[in-house]
Amino acid sequence: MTDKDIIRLVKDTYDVNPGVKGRSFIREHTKRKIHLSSIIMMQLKELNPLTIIITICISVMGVLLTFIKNYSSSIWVCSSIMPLAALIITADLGRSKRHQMTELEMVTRFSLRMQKSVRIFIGGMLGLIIHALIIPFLSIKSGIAPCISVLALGCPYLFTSWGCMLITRKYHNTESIYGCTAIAMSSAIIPIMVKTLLSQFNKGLLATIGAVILASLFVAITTEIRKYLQEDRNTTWNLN
Amino acid sequence: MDLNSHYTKLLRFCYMKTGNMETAEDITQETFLKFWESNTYKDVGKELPYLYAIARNLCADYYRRPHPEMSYVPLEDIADEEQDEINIDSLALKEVMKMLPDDLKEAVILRYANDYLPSEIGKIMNISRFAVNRKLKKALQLLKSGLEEGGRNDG
Repeated sequence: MTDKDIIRLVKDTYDVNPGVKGRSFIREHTKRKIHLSSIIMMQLKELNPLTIIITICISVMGVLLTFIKNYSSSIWVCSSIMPLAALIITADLGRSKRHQMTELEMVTRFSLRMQKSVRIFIGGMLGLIIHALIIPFLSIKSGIAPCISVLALGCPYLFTSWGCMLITRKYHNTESIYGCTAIAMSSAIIPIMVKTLLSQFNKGLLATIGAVILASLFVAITTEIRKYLQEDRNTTWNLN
Repeated sequence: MDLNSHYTKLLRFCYMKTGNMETAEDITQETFLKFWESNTYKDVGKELPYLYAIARNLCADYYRRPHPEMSYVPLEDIADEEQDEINIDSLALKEVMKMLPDDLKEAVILRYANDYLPSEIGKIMNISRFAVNRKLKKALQLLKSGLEEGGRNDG
């Protein structure tokens, strides 16, 4: 008997496969793999249609404003409507928290962290689309430098998003939406104030301050997203 | 971790250790449940050695426990046993395998039944791949002499 014969014999002798019990165990414990794009598509379907409609309306309104000839205030009007977009998007992201449905979402196929991350990604993409649509038109039609447009549109948008996320994280009830609305309204007033200040102060100085504020808001919103994702890490089932 | 493939390989390992399909299946499932429940596993990338260590301990526990009554054996397993009886060579191999030291038996099953590489077996058994190759060589020699001796006795 050669080594090859012995190896073949070992293979044949111990070539056992799972029985009925084993197969059902494997079936029961095998996690079905799902692609990230499928999760994004699923979460997109869960998005309130009103959010999409309002986002499209704001984008279209912003683009149309740039078509008005000799209208120098178009950037400030666009800037004032951005908080509304941020309010609508963040309100949709935090709806499970507001309606105290976090526990229910914990039992779904995906982890709550994954769902929240995907929703934030969708929200971020919607915000990016609005900015990406309006800023080029402001540059082409109204002749405003893209960096100024980024500052004018980005600051109120990020401030509202940050404020709404903070309120949603701190207050888990339906009334928190009023706080979010107040923040959005306050942010909408800021561009009007800036427009007034523009005539009194140096434009370069205001642009520098705006850039610092935008950078600070980026840091603030990143920190807020991190806290928002970590918040439910220790959430346990209420079994009482 | 591909559960289907690892389950089958671990089942073969437990079957070699216990010699009983039903017990092997139970121990395999218990191994996976313990592996998933365990909070002590920290070394990422060493799942396989950890999994086999649990299986090894559970098989040892099985032998320590008294077995007063016969357990229920499903029909398909009886059929397997009958099929084994027909295969004289397999029976002879099982008898010779029983006489091998535990480490040699493990090396043989992991290499030839589960198709693990010597480096992977080394990690599972916590020895170098050269030691694995030495054990495999020795095991094959012992199996060969055992089977030939068995053949002469039968003849």
